[in-house]
Amino acid sequence: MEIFTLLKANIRHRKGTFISILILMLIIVTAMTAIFNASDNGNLAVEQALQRVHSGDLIVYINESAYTEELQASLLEQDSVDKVVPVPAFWTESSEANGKKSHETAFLRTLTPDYQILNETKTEYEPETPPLNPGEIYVPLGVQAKYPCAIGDTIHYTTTFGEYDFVVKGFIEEPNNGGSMMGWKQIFVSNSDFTQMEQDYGKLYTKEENMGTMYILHIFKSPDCTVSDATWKQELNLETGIIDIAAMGSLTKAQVLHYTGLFNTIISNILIVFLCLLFVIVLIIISHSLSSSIEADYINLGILKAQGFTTGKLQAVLLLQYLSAEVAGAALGLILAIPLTAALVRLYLPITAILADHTVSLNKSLICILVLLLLSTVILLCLTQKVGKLSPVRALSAGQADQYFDSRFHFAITQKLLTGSLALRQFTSASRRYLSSILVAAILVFFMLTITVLANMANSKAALESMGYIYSDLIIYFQEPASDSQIEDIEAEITLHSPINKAYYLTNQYISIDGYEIYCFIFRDPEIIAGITRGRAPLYSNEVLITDIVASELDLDIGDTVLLSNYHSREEFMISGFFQSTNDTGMVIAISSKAGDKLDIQSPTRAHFSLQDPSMVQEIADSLNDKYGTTLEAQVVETDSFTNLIRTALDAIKVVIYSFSIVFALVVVYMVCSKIFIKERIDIGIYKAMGFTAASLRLQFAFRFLIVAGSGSVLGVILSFLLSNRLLNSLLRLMGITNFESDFTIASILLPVLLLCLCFFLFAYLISGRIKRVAIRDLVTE
Amino acid sequence: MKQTILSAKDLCKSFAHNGGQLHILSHINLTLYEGDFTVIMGASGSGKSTLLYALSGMDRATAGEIIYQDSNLATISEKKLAELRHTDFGFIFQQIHLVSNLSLFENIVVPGYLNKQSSASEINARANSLLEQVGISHVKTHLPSQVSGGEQQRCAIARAIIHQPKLLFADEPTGALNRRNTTEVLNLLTDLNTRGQSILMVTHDMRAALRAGRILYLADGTIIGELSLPPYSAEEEKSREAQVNAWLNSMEW
Repeated sequence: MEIFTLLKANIRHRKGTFISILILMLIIVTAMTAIFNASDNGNLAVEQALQRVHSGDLIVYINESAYTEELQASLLEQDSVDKVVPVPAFWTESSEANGKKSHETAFLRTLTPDYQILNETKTEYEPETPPLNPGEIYVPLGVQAKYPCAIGDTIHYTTTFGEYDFVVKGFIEEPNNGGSMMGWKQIFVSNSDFTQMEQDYGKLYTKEENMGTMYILHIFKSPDCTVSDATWKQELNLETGIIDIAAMGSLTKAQVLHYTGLFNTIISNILIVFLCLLFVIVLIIISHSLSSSIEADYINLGILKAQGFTTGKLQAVLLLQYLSAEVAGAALGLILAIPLTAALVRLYLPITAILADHTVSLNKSLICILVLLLLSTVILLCLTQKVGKLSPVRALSAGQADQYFDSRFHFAITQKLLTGSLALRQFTSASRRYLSSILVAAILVFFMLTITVLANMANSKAALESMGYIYSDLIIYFQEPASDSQIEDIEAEITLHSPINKAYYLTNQYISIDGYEIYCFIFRDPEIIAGITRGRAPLYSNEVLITDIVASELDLDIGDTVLLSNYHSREEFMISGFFQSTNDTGMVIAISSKAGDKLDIQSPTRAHFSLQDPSMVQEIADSLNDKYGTTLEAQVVETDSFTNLIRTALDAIKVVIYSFSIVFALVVVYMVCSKIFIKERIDIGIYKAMGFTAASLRLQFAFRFLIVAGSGSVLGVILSFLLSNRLLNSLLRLMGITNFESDFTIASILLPVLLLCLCFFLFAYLISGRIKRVAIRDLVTE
Repeated sequence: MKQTILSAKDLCKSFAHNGGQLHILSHINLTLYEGDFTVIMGASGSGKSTLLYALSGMDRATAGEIIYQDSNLATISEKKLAELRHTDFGFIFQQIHLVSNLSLFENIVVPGYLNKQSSASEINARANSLLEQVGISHVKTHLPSQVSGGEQQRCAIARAIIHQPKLLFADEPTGALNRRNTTEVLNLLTDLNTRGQSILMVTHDMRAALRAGRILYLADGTIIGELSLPPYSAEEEKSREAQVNAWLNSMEW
């Protein structure tokens, strides 16, 4: 009972601290719980959808002619294969909607009843999937990011055997390729339209000609097969050649989950790291607050000990005082996490294209909260140890030790900069007191700067190029692989309008490396490859460039030999170096056209041009299409909706992190100010008695926090220089970026630093308003 | 004819207490003169320090007027009061109250810097001279916690007069000092007064009161007696003490 009486009194007496810790915990628990739940729900939704549509453990997109009876038999002979379900489809690489063209592959197939349709508001699935009428299609939500398009819009598909216009009837849950991170899309057409397409194809081609007919093969793993999906896929390829001869590519269930949830995972990881750092800040604040409380209550604690309170009881009071604020914050946070989880699920919907459940898992959330509380309990227990060393006699007779010490830094007090020099003295003579605030400022600046660098990267041409991104103004798709003379003509035509900065001629397709399916770039001029991190470009016909991710996945290094195969061509190649690329989340290799010839890969099939005068790009595209329209298609490169989505998301994260940082700065300044204010009440009175106005004292107070923020910022910037690249590399590795080079500009450094310094200064000035209320009378000891 | 330096008219001060009002000062009328060394005496809780704080503008009166150079300190702005504190008034506290993270020298120069009438070099020179006068120049770079109580109080006196105030207020300046330090501090104040410094001091120490030329006796928030004395001289201290003692006894001290 006595513990609760003291606890109540302490909470009443320190309402500010209680509320501050409650707010900090509320922010952390709300955000952390919502992020975990939204992410988990998203992954679970994809898994459930895969089961619902009876998706295979491995999906192979294969030309109809390649799916021979021999291959079927070979697949079914494998002990690891349970069954194979082929879904007939047509492929196309050209579509257009709302005036925007896309050259990403689409598979046109029929609808089966397993698929669900989103309602108009995209808040839930329709209870039943309405059948498609001729001319109507269902598309996954990921298609929206291509054009964009809405229900009722017409999408035009160009195939080798005809042109087709379809009206979007609704958005479908398609878990294999539906997400925005996936380039290929399954489009669902009516049975009658599909039959019509079969007839149209049959009029022009046979299935052996491979001009558009294909199968989406769903291969199911035998329940006895215990190896990972990746190993199973590799073994299956080595046994049957299914990947080597697959027309387009393949995806395991694990890959589907990885790609679909990739964006959410990266965003979630960034925010989780930030929230963990915020929790470290909370622990620092709690430590500072508790130490200050023990110092301030030194005599009171002595009195309580003299009255018979044991160290354990006093520790319990202090522990409960802070834990009760944390528990209250966590409980409120859990409640607020419910709407936030729903909001995040809605936010992720255009990216995953799967509507996830927005419920909050109580068990998982409680585990998360318990871990946080356990960590802070350990810290609190360690800090309250000093209560045990407190002697009642010493506490009552001597009170607490002088809080100041003789600083080694002697900055003179000057008349011209009286306020500033006094603030500096206050800071240097008790810098230990500001250490926690400096650390907090450092952590905030570190993360603000890191996220600024990341967001700037998404908008920086140079930064993207250093990560293997091909940045261009104009793109040309060749009907047939371009010849040298054709390239000469095209370059001559372009140069009539604008000099060319850079020209990339390439082809890309899936091949296999040591039996493992991989995305391969075939460059006509490999010396132009950007993002090389080690070694050199694959200049010779027996050389291959790989990424760090491929190297670690397949345990390879420079100088090693690998077997590359494409259909029935196989050649040994030597690894000439490492590069980075975000394509296929880093599972990429690159070879030269000469090397491509050895694997029967015809190249180049497309070209990218970076122009000195980008304003001429439309004119150039029109001119090329007019002149060479029968052999190529030139397009102006526009920022696609998905790139915009990434940029918007990064900017949104930046705003979230900056906002949280400002709230934390406010709470930290409030708590530290309050403690310092109690300790310096007498000094403030003395200064007032000397003739200092409240305004000048407030300025002095605020200036001190400017010094704190400045010192913290310097530390934060140093931390960023040392750790930002490592942190971003580990976060962005999922995306294929292994050698992130932070581009620290003056602006990127100044933005978080100035913002934080301003916040610290402003908040300290506002909070120090109570200086006005300090009466010199408080110095009277009558 | 002595010039009035500060006067109070119907000065009242009360505090809220248990839902009612606790009257500390009640309709005090008082005039202080230039060059005087005035002492206020009274029993503990009589309101001596409250009167001193009200007269010096460190605290607001509840009612009445405090006139200093045609201004009513009871009503002027906080900014004006702050200005007066670093221009015309000096204050010595019983508990000394030096800024703990400033050296003795810095404690003295800061209010001088605040009063922008003199340059920094002039203030530094004056501070050094004051440190010599009060005998603490050898510890001028020390922090308050590193010197004795007497040295601290001498520093506080030097701080109070660095800007050459017209009126020096002292609240029990010897209250926290031992006998030797008390004598040193009183000698200092007497010396200052001899050179023309107006002083108003609150004390309940007989030895301190002996230095005054005028003693006011406060009881229950009202001035109930006044004693005028000739200028202090150490040789006549015994007879002066007897006179003051007799007067204080008549005040039922």
